[in-house]
Amino acid sequence: MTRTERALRIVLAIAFLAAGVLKIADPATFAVSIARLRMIPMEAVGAVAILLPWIEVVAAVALFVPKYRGPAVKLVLALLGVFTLILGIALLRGTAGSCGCFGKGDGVLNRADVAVVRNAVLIALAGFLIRRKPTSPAAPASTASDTGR
Amino acid sequence: METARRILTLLAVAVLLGASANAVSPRGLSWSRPLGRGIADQVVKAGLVPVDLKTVQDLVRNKSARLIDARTPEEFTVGRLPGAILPSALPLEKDQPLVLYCGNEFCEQSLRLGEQLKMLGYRDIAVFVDGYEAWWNAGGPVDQD
Repeated sequence: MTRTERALRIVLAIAFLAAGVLKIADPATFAVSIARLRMIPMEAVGAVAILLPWIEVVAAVALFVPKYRGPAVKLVLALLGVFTLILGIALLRGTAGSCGCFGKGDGVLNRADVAVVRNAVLIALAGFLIRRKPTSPAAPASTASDTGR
Repeated sequence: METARRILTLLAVAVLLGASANAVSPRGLSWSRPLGRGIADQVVKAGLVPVDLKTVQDLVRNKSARLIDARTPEEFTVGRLPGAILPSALPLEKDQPLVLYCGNEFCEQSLRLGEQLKMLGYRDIAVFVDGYEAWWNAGGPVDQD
């Protein structure tokens, strides 16, 4: 893993770990946030509120687990795509208040419009990781700085 | 194919961890009713009167009820319905019409407060179920410190 790849993975991991842990700490608030978006059936709110934070945590950890790094990036990218789509539609409909992205509160981190922009940046980072060819001992280094030397 | 298998493995691990943690956690949610039953039904069951936004708008305009904000003092300070007071400043007259509210249709503070006030002998208690957020989203004026 090059220094750039490691840095990008760390950024993604921190974002997803923080989001997951804060939601796990207060699942009721997250359930309310999901319900208020009015984007999924009420019957599904429970399962999403219970399981989605753990998917975020597992994906964050897997970004550094050998053999699971690539699939974890794809999972992170898929999650970000879904989150951004849902928040974007909610914003257009006017049902987006606090997204509950980072637990309780209506601060800037939980604003739906801020979340869309943040997700776009994270999508770009994940996309860069997916498109970047995996480095191996046999592959030539791209640049000296990228190899971390 | 291998990538898909590994993604499914990650999802399976997450589901296992999530379900297990939810089962043992004191903050665990109900799978079928994560938000509870919704306070409107519970308000009626508690012998209180649920009121909607239009009714509250009329009551505020006519100043014909005392609004009680059941949220935290910090939330109260940031913004509250016009003329609303905190429960600590409750009037002593038990016949005065009261309208309780909290944040939104999913919070229970107003319901809990209503039950306590009923036990204390207050007779005319209504609960604005949709709460401060509905008032705010409708563009209603708010008091602030």
